[in-house]
Amino acid sequence: MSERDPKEGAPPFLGTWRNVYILVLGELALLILLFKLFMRAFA
Amino acid sequence: MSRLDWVVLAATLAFIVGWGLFKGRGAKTAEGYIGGGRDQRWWLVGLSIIATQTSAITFLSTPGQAYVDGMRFVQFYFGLPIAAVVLSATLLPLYHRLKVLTAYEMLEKRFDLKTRLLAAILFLIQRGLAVGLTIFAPALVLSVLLGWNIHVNIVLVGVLVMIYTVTGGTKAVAWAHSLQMVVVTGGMALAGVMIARHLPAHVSVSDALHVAGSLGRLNPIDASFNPNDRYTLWSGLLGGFFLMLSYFGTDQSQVQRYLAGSSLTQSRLGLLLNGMVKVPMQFLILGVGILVFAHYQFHAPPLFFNPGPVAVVRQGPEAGAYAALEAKYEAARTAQVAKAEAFVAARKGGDAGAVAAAKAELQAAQRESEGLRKEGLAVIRKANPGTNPSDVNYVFLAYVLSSLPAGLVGLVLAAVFSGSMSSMSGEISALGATTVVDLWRRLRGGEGGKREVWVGRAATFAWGCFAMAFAEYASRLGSLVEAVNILGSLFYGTILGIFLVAFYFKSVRGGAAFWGALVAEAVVLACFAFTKLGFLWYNLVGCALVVLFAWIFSRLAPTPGPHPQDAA
Repeated sequence: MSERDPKEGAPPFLGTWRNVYILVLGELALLILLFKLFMRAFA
Repeated sequence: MSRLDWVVLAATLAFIVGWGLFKGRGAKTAEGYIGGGRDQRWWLVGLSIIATQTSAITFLSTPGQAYVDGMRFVQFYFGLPIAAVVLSATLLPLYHRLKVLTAYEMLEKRFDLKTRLLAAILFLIQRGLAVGLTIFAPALVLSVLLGWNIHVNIVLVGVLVMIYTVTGGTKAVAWAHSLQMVVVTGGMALAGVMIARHLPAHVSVSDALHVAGSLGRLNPIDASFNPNDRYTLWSGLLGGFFLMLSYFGTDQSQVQRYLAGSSLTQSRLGLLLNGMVKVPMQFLILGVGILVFAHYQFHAPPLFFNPGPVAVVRQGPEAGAYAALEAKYEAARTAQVAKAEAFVAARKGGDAGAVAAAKAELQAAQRESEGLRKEGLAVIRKANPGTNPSDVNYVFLAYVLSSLPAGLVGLVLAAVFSGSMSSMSGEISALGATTVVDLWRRLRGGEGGKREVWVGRAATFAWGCFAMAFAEYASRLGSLVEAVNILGSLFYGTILGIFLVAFYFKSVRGGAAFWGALVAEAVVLACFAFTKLGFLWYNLVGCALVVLFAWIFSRLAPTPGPHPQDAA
């Protein structure tokens, strides 16, 4: 399962898929943080 | 409903069906019909993925959930972005390399036919039952609030969906999904803006949020660890992760969406788009519910939003008790409006002591109102034995029908229908695909020619008819509806476990995986029957047990001889 797919290419932005994954997970972490701040601001 | 609402509703639905028919024309092979021609761009894949999981009941119940329970439901989706990343890095490349049409094809290449059939049949059972509820639940809400005939409603949605889904297959579904998402998003955004504008002139959105926050409704993060609590940060991140991993990785209704991507890159981007959009989208929909909650801090709401069970109470021996409770509730809520006004005025005054005192009075008023609502619910339950009456699905639409202007009501109803249609189309398309590829083609033989397109259409049509028939039957299921709703979590963990074993445990053969899955499923069903474990945890339990039992069985009885063909 480690064989690379011939159609697999680089993403159209951020250079590597690893960076795209960091973006997705970073957004989740940021959202959780913002939700927490939102909750505190209006509590 | 005004004439304008009817025109908006009819025109929107007609355009969606026509668009799906137009874009889905010309499928000449099973690969074109089921695989959508594998020519879709990432944004179409992403919209189709989001639309398939966004049912009408999600659209109706999410604001109601915020009204009743606050925003903590958003945590349910925290596992989704993580699952999208894991799937993008692992399963998607494998699916693309093997050029499969269904997720379950991979299992035969890795294990054997019986394991493939087990996973396919588990999918057909749980998704086949769930698709009926996809159209039943919103039809019930519309029939209760608008007086529409529920049977006509079910048949109307079913027929509209089948027109383009049966004819055009995956491509028609994807293009109709793109329009449906525009309608759903636009309808919800406009409704949110109108609700904010309908707040009293002296109450800003910030004031409204402070009122909701002071009453505990702005609670999107709950970091407590309670396995019996459905919505916490941890159940969302862990249980939700396994649920989403299974849903997006092994449920054909989703796999079919991203396998239609023109390349691995397009499929990945579509799935990751969903991973980035879903959490904020759910947060905003919950925000609409929060605005409805804030609205009803300045206007007295009804004791119970679902008029169906209330009508039963009014005709029974509990009518007097319920009327008395309604009167008490109205008085309490009128007093609560004054407390909310005082809280807003205190905040504007800037005196911290006055704000704290007004907040405490508002919270006490809310506790009294909630106590009366619980008493009302007890009376309703007494008069409706054997059912679990809830008004979560009715809060938002009841507000829309009573408060929004002509035209916008039609648009919101079009969004409700779009949600029903988008889920049903993705689901019956996937059920048809699995029936054709994993059962008909595999057991009878076939090469994917034009004949299989017609078999695919027949299977999709049959599943559409089954969905409508089950939706008709669902009205007699009563509280079992809730059990069917959590059906996904009863099977997803097991299916995911089979795929994880296939992917990560190369020494495990087909027999061990098959029997491990059967034992794990039995344990999950026992947990459902005999424990109070939150349903999201079934996904984790089922998945972990399949891995554990498959590994144990492979050690107890190692299969001699050559290893079956490895998917890797």
